Amino acid sequence: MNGKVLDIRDLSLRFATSAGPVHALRNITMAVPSGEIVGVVGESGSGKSTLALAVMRLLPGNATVTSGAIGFGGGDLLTLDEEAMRALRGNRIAMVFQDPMTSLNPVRSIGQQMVDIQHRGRASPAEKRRKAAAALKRVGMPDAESQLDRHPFQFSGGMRQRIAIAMALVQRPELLIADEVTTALDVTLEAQIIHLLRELRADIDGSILFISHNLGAIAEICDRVVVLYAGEVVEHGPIAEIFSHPQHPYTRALIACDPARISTATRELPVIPGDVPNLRHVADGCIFQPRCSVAIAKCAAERPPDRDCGAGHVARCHLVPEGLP
Amino acid sequence: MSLLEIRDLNVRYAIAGRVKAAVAGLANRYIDAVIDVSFEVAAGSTLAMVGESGSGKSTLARAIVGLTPFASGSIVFDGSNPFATGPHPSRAYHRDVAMMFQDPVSSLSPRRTVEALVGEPFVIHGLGNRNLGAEVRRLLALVGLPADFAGRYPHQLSGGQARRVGVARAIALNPKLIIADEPTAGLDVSVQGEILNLLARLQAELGLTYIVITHNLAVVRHASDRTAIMYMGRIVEAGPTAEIFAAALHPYTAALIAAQPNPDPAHRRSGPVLTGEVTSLRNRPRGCEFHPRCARAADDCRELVPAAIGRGPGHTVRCHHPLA
Amino acid sequence: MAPVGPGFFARMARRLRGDPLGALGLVLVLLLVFCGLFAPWITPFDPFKLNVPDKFQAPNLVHLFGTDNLGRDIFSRVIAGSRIALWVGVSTIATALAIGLVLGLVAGYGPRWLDNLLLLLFDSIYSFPTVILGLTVVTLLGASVATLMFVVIVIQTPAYARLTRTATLSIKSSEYIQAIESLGASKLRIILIHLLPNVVGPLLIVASMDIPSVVSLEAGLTYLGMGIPPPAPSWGRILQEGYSVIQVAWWIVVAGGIPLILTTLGFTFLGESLRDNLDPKLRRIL
Repeated sequence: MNGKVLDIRDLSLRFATSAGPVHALRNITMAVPSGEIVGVVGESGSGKSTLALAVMRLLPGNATVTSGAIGFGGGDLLTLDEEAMRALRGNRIAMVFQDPMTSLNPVRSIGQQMVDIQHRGRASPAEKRRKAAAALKRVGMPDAESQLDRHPFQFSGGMRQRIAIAMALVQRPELLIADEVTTALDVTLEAQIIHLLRELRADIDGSILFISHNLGAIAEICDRVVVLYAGEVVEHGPIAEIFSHPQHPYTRALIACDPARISTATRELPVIPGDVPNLRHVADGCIFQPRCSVAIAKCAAERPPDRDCGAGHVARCHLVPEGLP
Repeated sequence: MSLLEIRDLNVRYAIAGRVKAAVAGLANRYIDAVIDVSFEVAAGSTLAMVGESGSGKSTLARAIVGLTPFASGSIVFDGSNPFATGPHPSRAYHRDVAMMFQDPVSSLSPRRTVEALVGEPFVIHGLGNRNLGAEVRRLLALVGLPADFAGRYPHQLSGGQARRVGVARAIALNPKLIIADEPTAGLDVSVQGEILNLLARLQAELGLTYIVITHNLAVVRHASDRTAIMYMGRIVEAGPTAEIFAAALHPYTAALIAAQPNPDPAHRRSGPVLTGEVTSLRNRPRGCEFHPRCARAADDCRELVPAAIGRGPGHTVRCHHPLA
Repeated sequence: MAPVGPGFFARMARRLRGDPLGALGLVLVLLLVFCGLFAPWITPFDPFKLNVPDKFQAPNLVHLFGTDNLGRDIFSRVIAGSRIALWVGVSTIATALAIGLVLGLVAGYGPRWLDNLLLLLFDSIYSFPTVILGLTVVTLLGASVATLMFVVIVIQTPAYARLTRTATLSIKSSEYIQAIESLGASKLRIILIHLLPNVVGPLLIVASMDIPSVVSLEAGLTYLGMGIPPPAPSWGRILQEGYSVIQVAWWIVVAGGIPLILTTLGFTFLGESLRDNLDPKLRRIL
C-alpha cells in the first residue's frame, strides 16, 4: 500500500431548500488507499450518493460545501477551476451509475461514444477505436470489434452495465466511482458484475469507491467499508472487522437486519425502530441516539468522538471504550 | 384446501399485427410470456413466485388479477371461475383479490391524499356511504401509520410509509388473496423487515393468503411456505420453501441460490455460478429453455421440453437431469 | 410537477419575487383582466360617443391617447377593446381546451380504433393552413365575433387534444393507474379522478400562452374587415381606422398596437414563468 488516491477530510455540505438548509454531509473524513476497493454503505438519506457527486464536483446548484477538502492526486478537488475539473473527469476519475441508460447516449453507437471520451488523447482514430474494442473485450463482451457499431438499446441491461464500465475504464482512471452499479440488475447478473469488477481491479490496479445499500454486494467485493448514517461516517474499517466485530450500534443493527444473514427462517425479522432524522435541525448529541437501543444519557447531550478500535477500525460512539487496542 | 388453482395458464403478447407479420414473414407473431403454468395456493399460506426479469412472474400476476387477458388455461378461485363470462373478472373477484404493485410511491396516484387513496376501494365498490373517515383511520392504525397521515400526499411519504399505505389499500375490502409484486423492492434493509413483519402479522390476524412475487431469495426464505421458480415463462421448480433451499432440484434454482451475494466477507465466492444472460423471449431455445446456460445440459435437453415430474410430496421439477 | 395544494399560492408568490419577468407578466395580465371586467365603469368617456368638433386631437391630459376622426376618446376605446380581446381570447381557448381535453382523454385511454379515428380527425384539421381556413369560414358564414371564435376553436382543439392524448398515454401505463384498474374501477372514474388532474396542468400553461395569439388573430381579421364589425372598439378596428389616417394622427395606430404587444408579452411571460415553476421538465417540450 502506497498512499491514498482519494483523501476526504472534514467535508461538510448543505443543500439550500425552500424550507431551510439541509445539512446533508457533516465532517466526512475518509480515504481510498491506492489499489483498494472501499465500500460506502448506507440507507436512503445517508448521503452516499451526494458524497460521490461531491467527489465528481457534479453537485446540483443549491449545494454549498461549508468545510473540508477532497484530496486527489496531490491537490484539493474543491479548489480546481471548472476547466481543470473537466479534464479530470472521465480521465483520472470515472463514474458508473445505477442505470447505464442514463450515462449512455441513445443515438450514438457505443464505438463512437467510446472514441468520444478519448478526445483528449493524441492517438489516431483507428488507435482509439482499437482501444475501445480492447476495453469492451476486457469487460467480457463477446465479439467486441463488431459490437462497436451497435447502439445502447440493442444490448440487455447487464451488457449495458458492462459497456458503461468499459467506457469508464478506457482512459485507465486512477479512481473509479461505482454508484449502486448492481442495484438494478438481477442476482445472477449482479454476481457477474461483482466478479467483473474484482477481475478488472487486478487488471488496472484501480482504486474503486463502491457505493451500495446492499451489504451482500459490499461484503463480496470491498477491502474496507465506510458506514454512513444521516450524513455522518459512524464507523469505518477493514471489511472483516466491520462485518465480524461491528462496534457502532447502527452498524450492528444494519447487519442484524439483513435477512440474508439470518440463517433460520423467521416471520419476525429484526428492524431498526424510528425514522432517519431530519437533517434541517441536527441535534447536539449522537445522530443515531434517537433510534439507538443502548443509548445512555451522554449520547443525547454530547457529540461522540471517533474512537480507535485498532487495525484502522474507527467507530463514532460513546460506548466504545477509549484506548481499546 | 386450495384458495386459488391455476391450470395450464398461457399468456402471450402480439408483437406484430396480422398485416405486419405477413409482410415481414414472421412465422409466429406472438411471444409467449407465460407457458403452461399450473399451481395451487392453499388458503392462509404464502407462495413465493421467484424469477429474474423476463421470467414472466409479473405477467402471471397481472393475468391472475385480470389486468392482462390469458390465451388459454383456467383459473379457479374459491371454487368458482371468475373469468367464466369473459376477460373481465366479476366485481366480487376484484374485492377478493387485491394486488400490490412494485413501486411503493408511484403506485399511488400523485394528486390524491392518503385518505382518498385508502378510501378509494370503498368508493369504487359502492361502499362509500359508510363512515369513510373512520374506516380509513382504522386501516391506517392496522398498518401502523398515525391517523394524521390521512392528509398527506404520496410525495410526502417515505418509501416504507408509502408501502404501508399500499398495504392499507390492499386490505381495505377484506380480500382473501393478496398478490404482492416485489413488496420490498426499493426499500432499505431495516424497512424491508418492517414491511415483511407487517404482512406476516396481517396474515395471522386476517387469515390472508399471499402470492409474493420477488427476485429476492432472502425474503423468500423467511416469508413463504412454498416457492415456485420461473424461467422464461415456465415454472421450472416448485415445492416447500425449506426443501427448495435445502436441496434444490433444478440447476437453475441451485444457481439462483448460489448467486445471492454472501454477506460474510470471510466466505466470498470465487466466481459467478451462472454465466450468460436470459435468452430473449423472441428466440426461445428449443427443448429446455435453460439449456444454453446449464452446465448439465445433454442432448435431450436441446431437443425436448422437460415435463414436470414429482419428487416427494408437493415438490415438482421440470428437468431431464435434476440434481437429486 | 408540484401538486396544487394548500400553500400553493404562497409558494407561487414567493417564486415570482425571484422572477421579475414572470411578475411583469402577472401584472400585465391582471391589468388586462381588470380593464376587461370593469371597462364600462373605468372608461373616462363613452367609447361610442361621437364628438366631431374634437376630432384628431393629439394625446393630452383630457384625452390621454387623443381622439380619432369622429372625435371618440381613444383611451376609452382601448379599454373597451380589452373587454372584447379578453372575451374572445379566454372564452375560445377555454372552449377549445375543454373539448380538446375530453377528446384527448378518450383517444388516449379509449379503445385503439377510436384513437385512430380521432387522430385522423385531428390531423385532417391540422393540415389546413390556418389563415386560409379562417378566411374561408368567414367568407361562408359572414364576419362576426361568433364566426371568429368558431374558427379558433376548430383550429386549437386538435392541438390540445393531441397534447392531452400524449400525456394520457404516458400516464396510462403507470403503476398507479394499473393499481386502480386492479381494484375494478370504472373507466370514467379513472379518467376523471386519476388521469384528468395529472394532464391538465401542462395544458393550462400551453393554453395561457395561446391566448395572445387568439387576441392577435382577432385583431388581424378585424383589421382585414373580416372580424368584428364596426362600431365595436376592437383593437384591430382601432388599428384599421388609425391606419387610414396615419398621416394626420399617428397616435391612433400606436394606441391600438401597444395593448396588443403588452397582452402578448404578459401572457407569454406569465406562461413561461408558470411552466418553469410548476414543471421544469416541460421547458424541453414547450
